[in-house]
Amino acid sequence: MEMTGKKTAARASFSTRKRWSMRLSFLVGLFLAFYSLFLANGIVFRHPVRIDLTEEKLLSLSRDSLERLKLITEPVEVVIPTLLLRDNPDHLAQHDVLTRARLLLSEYLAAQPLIQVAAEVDVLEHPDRWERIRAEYKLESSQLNRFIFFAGKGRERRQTVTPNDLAFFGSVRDPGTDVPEVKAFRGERAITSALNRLVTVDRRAVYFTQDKGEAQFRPTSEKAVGVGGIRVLLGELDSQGLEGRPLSITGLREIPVDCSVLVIAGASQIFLPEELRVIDAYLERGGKLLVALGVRRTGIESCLEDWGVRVLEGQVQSYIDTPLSKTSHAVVAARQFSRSHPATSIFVNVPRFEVQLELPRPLVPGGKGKGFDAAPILSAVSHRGVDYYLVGLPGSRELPKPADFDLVLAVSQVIPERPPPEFQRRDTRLVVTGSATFLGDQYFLRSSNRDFLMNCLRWLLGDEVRSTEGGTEWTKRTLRTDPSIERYLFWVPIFLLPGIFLTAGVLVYHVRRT
Amino acid sequence: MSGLLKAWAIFLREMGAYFFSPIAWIVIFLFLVINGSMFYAFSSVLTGQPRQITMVVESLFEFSIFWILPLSPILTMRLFAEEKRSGSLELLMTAPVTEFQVVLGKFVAAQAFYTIVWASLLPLLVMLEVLGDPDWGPIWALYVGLFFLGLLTNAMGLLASASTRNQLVSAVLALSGNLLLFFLQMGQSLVPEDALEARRWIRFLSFTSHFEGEYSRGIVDLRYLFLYASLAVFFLFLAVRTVEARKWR
Repeated sequence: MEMTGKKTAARASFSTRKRWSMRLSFLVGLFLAFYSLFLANGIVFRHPVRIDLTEEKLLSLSRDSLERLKLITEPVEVVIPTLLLRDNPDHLAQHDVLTRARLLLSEYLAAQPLIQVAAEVDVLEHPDRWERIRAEYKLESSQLNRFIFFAGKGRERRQTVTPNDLAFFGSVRDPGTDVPEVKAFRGERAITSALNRLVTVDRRAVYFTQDKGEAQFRPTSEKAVGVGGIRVLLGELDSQGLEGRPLSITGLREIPVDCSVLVIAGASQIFLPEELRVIDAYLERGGKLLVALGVRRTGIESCLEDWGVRVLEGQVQSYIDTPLSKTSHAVVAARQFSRSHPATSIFVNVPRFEVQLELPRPLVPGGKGKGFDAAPILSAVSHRGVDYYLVGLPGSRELPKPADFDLVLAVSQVIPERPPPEFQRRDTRLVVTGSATFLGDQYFLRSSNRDFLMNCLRWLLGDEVRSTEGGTEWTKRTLRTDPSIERYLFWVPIFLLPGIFLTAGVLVYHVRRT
Repeated sequence: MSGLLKAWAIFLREMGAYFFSPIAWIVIFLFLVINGSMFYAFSSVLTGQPRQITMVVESLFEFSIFWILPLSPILTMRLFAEEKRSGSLELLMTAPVTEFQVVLGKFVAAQAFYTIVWASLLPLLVMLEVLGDPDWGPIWALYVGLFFLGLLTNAMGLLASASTRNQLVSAVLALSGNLLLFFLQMGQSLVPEDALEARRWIRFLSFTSHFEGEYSRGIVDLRYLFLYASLAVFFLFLAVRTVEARKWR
């Protein structure tokens, strides 16, 4: 067809004008589609909806956690420093737990956008970055393999969740090579509790008496950091939402009313009668006291006796009899704990539980003083070539005999099954330990010392629910195999199944050809 | 309704083309031989682990996820490129069908075959059920993720096929797109560590991290499904417009 004029060209089905119109329409459509795509995904990106399809609902948050997350009204930052040494069995077990907890943490991030992961760093891969993060968040180099939550304007509030908070580990035959099995995972409770404590603006005060030769609250020189310092403990309290404060008891009329727990750690000087009266009055009004005894008598023993704790003379030391050596040690590794008491029942599934105390003084429940009951929660009991002796008894000429000793007592009110009408409930609680060394910087992070002390503090603070929490079993999912089944596992997936499809293909091809 | 029936007719035609050619059977055969071998290897290596079955499933899918790279290009490269080369596309378009119906029919056929390939792994998982007690949550989550990811990769492959008359070029284009998505996660290392928002976006777009972090643990994040599906719709829209474009080029 010959195009002779504009009119004719306009009638053609695909004129230049129409082509351009189609191109323009294509471009506009492309732009609109792309814009819609970007907009829709931008909105969806901010509103995660996650469905947990696992049978055990391992990654579903409970209604309680979701309700608590609604209480968060300010940004919460999470820092996750990790260190994985492949030849370290403990690291492997911790890595497993932290990986699972990290997934659970994603559920928290999805449910509460104010919680953000500020930094995740592999310390081995990125040491420089770790140094920067440490400086920015004021972290210690030992604060690894844990979740650290920060809140507040200057990140002044922080909470830490460690692998031991997240899971129970099973025991192993050889700690050097065997990876501890995760017996139960309790990540949700640990993370929710940490967040709960974080958003509770009022930090509870833990007072440490400081003028009777106690463990030093603020060491004045670097030399003083060590046995006598409790800097690590204070850091741990800080990470649990507790504030350690020094207290001078000399001339004090009463213990401050905001005192949640009073700690007397390793006192070596005599308490004056009026000072003991102040402590007693504090206990009478429902106070919580943690006494970690020093090596000398200070007069606090008489006060403790009124509350049902008798401190015996002498110190306990261990005697280890092995085929290679027979030696006595000042450090006593106490492993026997109360399985029913809320302060220690949490350790039932913890492997290698032991609290290391240096020359502890033996304790004895001294009856129901003031209607209170002292329960032994940690003892040194002879086992497999390890015996315990009482040494340092004044004037004793006899050779000491091996015996078992109670080293930590917990005191609380005895509540009758049917309390009489005049019965008064009292919140007073005491924990008395035979030695103070385990909360010093040198020992605090050894063995189960940290966990033991922190759980005693939780019990004193009335957090029994947390102390006694359990956890669901980590379901074992293994194949039932024997040699015949292994043959089956070899032949079916590699030969039989593909063979069926190959035969079907050959048949179809043959049928088509014929 | 009649529009859907026309698309159904195209779907049946394409499914027939898949199964009457030896390629489909060879692809499934190779897929099963390799994955079956890995299944046996993982089952043996992980003996004694308390979560042996869960780990076998995770490892198997972490390995087989690499099949996504070549699978969709192989399935889609022929759909339009071959028809263009042989001229049968013009013949097809003379039939009373729209471009949309043609694209939809071919796409659904590719998706169906893709699903069949992945479903061929199910007998292995049934073996786990017979010999143990697997948690089917992660398995279904992985299948949901794979299905939706297939929507995206097949739509992308279809667009590549509609854009050229050479099957090889189509496959290379689709493979490039898949590789881009696959290695997006590595882009995180190029982004400054403090650019958390950018890193979150990269993670959001990177499907490998979705499989590692969510699906293999039994979690289905609806955001990712929406992302795959919306991108699939976008690529299908482009494919329809590309097929239409032959009219006015």
